[in-house]
Amino acid sequence: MKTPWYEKIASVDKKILYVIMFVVVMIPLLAKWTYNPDVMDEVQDIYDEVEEIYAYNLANPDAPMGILFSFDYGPSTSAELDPMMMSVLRHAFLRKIPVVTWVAFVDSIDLGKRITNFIAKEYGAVYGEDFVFMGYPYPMTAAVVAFGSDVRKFLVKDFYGNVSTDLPLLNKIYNYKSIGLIVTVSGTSMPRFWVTYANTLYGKKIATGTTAVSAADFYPFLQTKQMIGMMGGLRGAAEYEKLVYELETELIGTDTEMYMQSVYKQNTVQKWDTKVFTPGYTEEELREHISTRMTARTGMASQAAAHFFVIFLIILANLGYFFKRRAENKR
Amino acid sequence: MKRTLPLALAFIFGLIGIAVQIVPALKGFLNTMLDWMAIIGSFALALGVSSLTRHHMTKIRRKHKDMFFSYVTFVTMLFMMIIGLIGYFQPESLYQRLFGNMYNYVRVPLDASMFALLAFFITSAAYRAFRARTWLATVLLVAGVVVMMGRVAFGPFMIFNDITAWLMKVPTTAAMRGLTIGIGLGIVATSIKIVLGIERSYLGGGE
Repeated sequence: MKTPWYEKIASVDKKILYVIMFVVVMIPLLAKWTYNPDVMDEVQDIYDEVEEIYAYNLANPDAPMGILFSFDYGPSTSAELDPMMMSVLRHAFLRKIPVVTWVAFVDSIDLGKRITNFIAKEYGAVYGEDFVFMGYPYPMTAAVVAFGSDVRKFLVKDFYGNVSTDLPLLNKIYNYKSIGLIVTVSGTSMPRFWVTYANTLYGKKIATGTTAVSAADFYPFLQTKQMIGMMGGLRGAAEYEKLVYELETELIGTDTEMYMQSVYKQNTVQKWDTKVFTPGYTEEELREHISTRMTARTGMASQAAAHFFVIFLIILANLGYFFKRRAENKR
Repeated sequence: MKRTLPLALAFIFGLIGIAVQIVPALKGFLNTMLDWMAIIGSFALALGVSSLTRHHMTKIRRKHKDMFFSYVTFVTMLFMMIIGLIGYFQPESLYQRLFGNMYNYVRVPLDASMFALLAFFITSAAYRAFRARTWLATVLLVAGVVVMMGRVAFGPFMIFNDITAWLMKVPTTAAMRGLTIGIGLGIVATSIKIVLGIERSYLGGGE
């Protein structure tokens, strides 16, 4: 007896589905398709807040506001979260806003250090003057509370062993009064922790970046304004990436490669601490810096294809299920 | 004594924990408690390593069929520990670069690969389990499809973007708020039970 089509659908080997999924994900990546997202309000709000800090710093050059970036994620979610952290960091460095970074987990130290230095290098930021990396403060609760008075008393040294009070940036930005925004990028419930301590206790503005699966957890905080904005998943990252790309094009033009190289031609190399990054670029490094400006939008093309494929499978499987049930009822 | 002492400590420090938050004169003690937390927390690392070692040693001793992986665990753990420690004391040395490379080119891709496998699990789940069996399942299915479309919407599909935004901002927010309040109340209730010694499962022993 001939097997009905809906039976065949139900018995498709999952290995075949996996292979198709793999191909669907790979084609947009290899073809370098990009996705041009519409910017949602919650992402635009973060961008606008950074712009407000920039405007404040222009009006108050002697008492600037900084941004505290917390790498609250590990390698497992870095594919989704790195692009959003990179985009907001780029925005801050483009606008010459003082940057303080740290990590919330011990296995994120290398990740936090690498990304901070990677982006700082693009804009010729000087360690200790334009940005600092505080490493892994433990326990986080104590570090977050210490920022309420003077973080230098809790973190006596930065990640590289420099005494905190010797760093010019930390002499301006050492408590929440001089922090305009806290950016927490996380695949866990850490943004909730920041709301509890930094927002509730000190009234600090929190912006979060989170994986798509965790985004639903934080919508209540957006509604209550305990978070000023949120980048949800790779889509959120792509939106912020687009905004920063437009700003960068406006400020430094489309030839980013030439701009990055020119940073290290105009100045003396002694200005930069080689412990943090090596001034100048190799060809390979340049390519990497350029490609990371499109990571989220390229990834989104792949994600879009995967979503459409999954939707197609859901419809197909349900059609099969519907017809099979109808045939069974007839019998 | 083995049970009384931990119960007494939980009771005393539970009360102190509440007191330091509400009595302004005790605020200074909060920092001391946080320091203690750091010290006690670091023991968890030692406990973790010892527990992992014991678990894999038992596997090797009993010649378990997967004992090869226990050897892999020991070798990689010791390797990372040694190069990490030497690298820490010798900055910019070969050890530190090796540690960095192991992290960036082994650990990060492995972790990312584990997370990426979700795409395949979802493919399988979408095909085999995501069925409109009941009306509630149909609501879930339709909402899921709309959100999936909305997250990647473009051109003529932009309507899904707006519907997704509404779904996330209104029904999801309401549901999450209910969950959060429930969890919060649960935490308070459990904390009180632990402080008063009613909840004792953290002591182990199955009693």
